[in-house]
Amino acid sequence: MGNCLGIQFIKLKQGARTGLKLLWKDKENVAVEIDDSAEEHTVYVSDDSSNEDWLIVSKSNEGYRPLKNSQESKKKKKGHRITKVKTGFIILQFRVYIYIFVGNLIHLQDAVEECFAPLTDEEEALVSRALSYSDRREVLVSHPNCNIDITGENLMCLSPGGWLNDDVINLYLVLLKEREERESHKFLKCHFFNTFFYKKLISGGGYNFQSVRKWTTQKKLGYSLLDCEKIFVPIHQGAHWCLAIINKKDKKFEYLDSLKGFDIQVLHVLAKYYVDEVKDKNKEDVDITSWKAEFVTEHPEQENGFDCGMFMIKYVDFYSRDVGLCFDQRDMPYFRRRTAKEILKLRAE
Amino acid sequence: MVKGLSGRKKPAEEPVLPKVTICIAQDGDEVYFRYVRNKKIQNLLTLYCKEKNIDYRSVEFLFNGKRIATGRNANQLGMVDGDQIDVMTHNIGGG
Repeated sequence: MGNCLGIQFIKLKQGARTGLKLLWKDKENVAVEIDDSAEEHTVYVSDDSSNEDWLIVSKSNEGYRPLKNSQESKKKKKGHRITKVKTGFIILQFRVYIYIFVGNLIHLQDAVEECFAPLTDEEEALVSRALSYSDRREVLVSHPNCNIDITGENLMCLSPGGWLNDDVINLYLVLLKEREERESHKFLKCHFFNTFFYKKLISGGGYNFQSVRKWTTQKKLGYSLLDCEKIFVPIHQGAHWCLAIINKKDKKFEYLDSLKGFDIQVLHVLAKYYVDEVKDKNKEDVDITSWKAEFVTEHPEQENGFDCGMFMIKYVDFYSRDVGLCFDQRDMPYFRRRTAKEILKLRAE
Repeated sequence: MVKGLSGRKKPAEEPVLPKVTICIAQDGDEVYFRYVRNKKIQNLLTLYCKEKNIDYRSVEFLFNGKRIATGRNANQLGMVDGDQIDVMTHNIGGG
């Protein structure tokens, strides 16, 4: 649903905003009268509760635009009997409902827009400069809390065709957590495990809860892992990045692979981990028999041999915003530069 | 007797112990060290890499899932006897 809405919103954006401008006074009591006899398709819009405020709007290709306001238009209306409302009215009323519906969801469209906000010239220059550093050992940026240093060499993986390394991914995931804490109303409460978590969890022959038991104490995280709606777990499969999600919100375990791979073992291990984690931290048993294990198939797919890391972190980014995965392979060059910018500035938007 | 008691009480009253036992684990292989508490942990890690013949820069050291600030000592990191440092190799992936 998210995918469709995302695309529809972009198309509807202009129309929706124009429509909402007409209805700013009172969305509930709007009467719309149409004079089809006039050549210009003049439309009178009134607020039922007070007949003082009138608008004349003219129909054009873009939609309905206000022409004049108030008394003048009222006079004009008096001398002019409006007879044909019928069809036009119904259509317009329908549009009004669409606009209200879209208006209610405009924040979602804004969220999608935010995902594709272009870089400023200054930021472009910053990224270009950083990606062409000759001294690759030089530390470009270092995050004080998570102790990750990004050298020129690390960042080079974000240049076109580069394979993403774990330093860049881990730092980006830390930035996503900081973004969520900064603007908690806009993002889901999530936890982002680093790329080493799953590897450690399956160390020592299959499943080893003890090795990661201390990773998620409330004291260490500052919040309870089990309060999070989504828990993201990056999975490294040989030379390939995938993503697993413990989705507490929808009660399911999800697995996303940009190359359409499946690994049921990962979901079994995470299910086991979740049960043990609840038992260990909350001292209670959780029943996950009704939870679904889902291999997400309708998601953007990789069409080359180097973008899987980028797809993986963008699945995380979009899901933590609670919007659909409305991007595809063509957006990857932009996402690479955007991620480089966010890492250099140590701030994800 | 009295001496033994006071010796046992010392950790609770005086948290600054001269040494701490730390386990460094990599792929199931565990090595234990008694290491001075107020010395930079980096020295221990470079020593470990030297012994294991691995490049210090090619691995990641994690303490409870978090990358270690190698310029700090065991006290600053809040390490206690038996704590474990995980040695993880870096990963890259493209498809």
